[in-house]
Amino acid sequence: MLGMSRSMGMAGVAALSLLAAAAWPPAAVHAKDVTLEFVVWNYSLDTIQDNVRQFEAENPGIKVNVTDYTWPDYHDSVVLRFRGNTTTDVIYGGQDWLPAWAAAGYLYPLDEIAADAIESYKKDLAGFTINDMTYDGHLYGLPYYADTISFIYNQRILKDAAIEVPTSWEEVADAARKLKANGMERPIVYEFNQELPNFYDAFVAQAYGRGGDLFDEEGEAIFNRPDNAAFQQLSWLRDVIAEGLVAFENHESTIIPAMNSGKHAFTIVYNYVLAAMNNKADQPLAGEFALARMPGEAQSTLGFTKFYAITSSAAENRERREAAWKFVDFMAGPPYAVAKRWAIEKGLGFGQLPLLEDPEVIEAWSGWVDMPTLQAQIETARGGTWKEWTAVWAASFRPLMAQAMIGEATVEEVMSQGAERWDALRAQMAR
Amino acid sequence: MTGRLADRLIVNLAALLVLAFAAGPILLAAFGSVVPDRILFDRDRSVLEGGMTLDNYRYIFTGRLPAAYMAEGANRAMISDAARQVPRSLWNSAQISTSVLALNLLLGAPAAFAFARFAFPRKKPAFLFLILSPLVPAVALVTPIYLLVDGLDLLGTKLAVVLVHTARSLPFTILILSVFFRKLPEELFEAAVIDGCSRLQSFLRVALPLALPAVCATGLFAFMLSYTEFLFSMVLSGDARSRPLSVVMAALARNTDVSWSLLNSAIFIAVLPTLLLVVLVWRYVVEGLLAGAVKG
Repeated sequence: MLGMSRSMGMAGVAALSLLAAAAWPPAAVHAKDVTLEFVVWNYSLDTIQDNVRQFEAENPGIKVNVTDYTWPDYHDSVVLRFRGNTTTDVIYGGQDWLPAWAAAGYLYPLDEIAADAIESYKKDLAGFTINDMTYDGHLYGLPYYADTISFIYNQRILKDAAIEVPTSWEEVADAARKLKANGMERPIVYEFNQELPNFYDAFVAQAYGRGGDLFDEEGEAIFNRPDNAAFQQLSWLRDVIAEGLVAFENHESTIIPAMNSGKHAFTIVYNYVLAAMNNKADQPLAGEFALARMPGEAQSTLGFTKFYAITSSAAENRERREAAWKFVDFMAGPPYAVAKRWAIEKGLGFGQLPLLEDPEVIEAWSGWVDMPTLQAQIETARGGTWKEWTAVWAASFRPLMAQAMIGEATVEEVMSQGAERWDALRAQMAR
Repeated sequence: MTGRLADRLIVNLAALLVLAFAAGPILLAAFGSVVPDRILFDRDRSVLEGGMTLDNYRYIFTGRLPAAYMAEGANRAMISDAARQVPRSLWNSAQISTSVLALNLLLGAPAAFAFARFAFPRKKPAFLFLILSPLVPAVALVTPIYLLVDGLDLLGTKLAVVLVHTARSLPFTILILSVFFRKLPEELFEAAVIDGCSRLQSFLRVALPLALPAVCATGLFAFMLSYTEFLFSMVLSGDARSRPLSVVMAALARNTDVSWSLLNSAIFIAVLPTLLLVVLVWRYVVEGLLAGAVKG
C-alpha cells in the first residue's frame, strides 16, 4: 500500500509542479496614457466591466482597471488601500462613510474639479442624494445608486380582509390586530438584527414618516424627548412586538421568502427588496406586494445614496484628475445612460430625477412597483444625519434599540443613553 | 444480549447524528441547487411539482440565464453574475492551495526534521517562536501584511496569497512533522550514519519514506487551510483573475443579488473538490498512518 502511495506521490508532485507554475504567470503590461484604478463592491461585475469598456471606447487614452471587494468587507478594504497608499482613483462611496473619508482627506470635492457641471447637474438630483453626497458644504460624488426605505404590504391579504392601506402607524397596528384576529399569527415581519445598519436606517425612516428627526439643525440629539417622533416610534415598536403582532427575520434576504409565504402582510425594508419580492422568476406570490408611502403625518422616509467619488490622490495630478472626472461624468452624469441601464437591467434605484419620467424605466419598473407612489416617496424622502461619528454611534445605539423593542429596557432609558453617547462623541470630535 | 443490542443502537444513532451534521448541509445544498426557487419557497407545492433543473449549473458554467429568469416580468437582478466567477476561482484556489501544499512540504519537512533530530544554537526559542506565531490573530496582521505585499508590488497576485498562506500554515506543518520525526527510533539514523549516509541522505532516504503518510496528511492539512482561508485572500487577491474560491463564496453568500438556488449550486460546486480529495487521497493517508503505527 505504501508503494502505491509513493507512486501516487510522484504523480502528485508532477501535478503540483504544474499547478504551482500556473499560479505565477507573468504580469500583463498595459500601455495607455492614463490608467485609472476604479474600486467597487462586487455587485454585477459584468455590467460594471461593460460600462467601463464603453467608456474606454469613447475615451481613447484612458484605461480603467476595476478592483472589487465583497460588500461587507468593502469599507475596511478601501480604508486599507487609503492607508497603504495603494493607487486608487475612483471609488464607490457611501453616505455613511463620506464624513470620515472626506475629513481624513481621502476624497476630493467634485465641485472643485468641475464646478459648473456639478452646479448644473444638481437640479436633476433628488434632495436626499445631495444631502448624502455633501460634506462641509462640498459635493463629493454623483449617484451610482440611490434608494429609499419602503413600507410594503400584501395587496391580496389586505383586500381579502377589507383593510384600507394604512397611512399612520396607529392604522398599521389596527390592521395588524384585525389580521391577527382573522388568524394571521404575525402580520408584520421586521428585519431585527442589531448588527446591521439597516436596523437603524429602517427606524429613522419610520421616524421621518412621522415627520420628526432624531437631531436638530445644530446636530444635537433630540430623540430622547418623549414628544419626539423617534421616541414615539420606538414606543410603538415596543407595543406591537409585545402584542405579538411582529415576526422577526435577521436579514432582508429572508424577509423576501417570509413575505412570500403569505404569513405576513407588512414589512419595512429597502425598496430593492420589493423588486425581489415581486420577482416572477423565483417568488411564488410575486405581484401581490405593493409600496405604500411611509405611514405617519409627513409620509416621508429615509433615502440613501451610493456614489462615484474621486480620491485626493487622483486629484493631485491634472491628467488623472481630468480622466477621473470624465469617468465619473460618463457613469453618473447626463444623459444618465449608465444609471438608466442599472435601473432597467437590474432594478437599481437612482438619484437622477429625470429617469422617473423615462418611458423605458417606467415600463421596466411598472412590473413590480407603482411608479406614481414611488415618485411621491422619492420626492419627499430625506437624507440621514451623517457625521464623522454617526456610524460608530449607530453601532452602539442599535443594541439599545433592540433592548427597548423586546422590553429588556425602557424606551426612556435607551433614548437617554443613546443621546448621552451621541453628545459625548460629538464633543470628542469637536475637540 | 439486550445490552449489546442497546449498545449497537446507540452507536448507530450516534453515527447517524454525525452523518446528519456532516453530510446534511451538503445534501441540502445539492437539493436546493436543483429545485427552482419558486417551488422551494412555496410550502403549498410539492418540491417534485416543478421538476428538477440544472439551469443554475448551466448559468454558472456557460452564462446562459435560467429559464425562469427569461420569463416576462422576471427581475434579473437576483441572478448574480458573481456566480460565474466560481469555475475560475476554483482553478485559482487549486493553484494557490497546491502551491501552499508544495511549499509547506518543501520547506516544512526538512525544517521539522532539523528541529526533531539535530541540536543547534537557539533551537528552543526558534521552535517556540514558530509554534507560538499562529496565536497572533489574523486580523491584527492584515494591515502590516497588506503594506508588506504592497511594498513588494505583489498586490492582486496569486503569489501574494500563496506566500501569506504558506507563512500561516508552515508552523503547523513543522510542529506536526517534528513530533512525528521525533518518534522515529534513533537506531535507524545511527544505522544510516554507519552505512555512510549524510544528514540530508538520512532525511531523504530514511526519515521521509517512513514519514510519508504523516507528510501527506500534513500537506493536505495545509491545502485545506489555504483552500478555506478568507481574510488574507480577500485583501490581497485583487480581481477575478487571481481571486480564490473562498472570496467568491463569501460574495455569493453575503450579497443580496443571489438567489437561493444559485447560492446552493455554487456551494455544491465548491464542496466537490474537497469531497473528491477526501475520497481519492484520504484512504491512503489513513492506511499509511495505520501501517506506520504498527511498524513503529
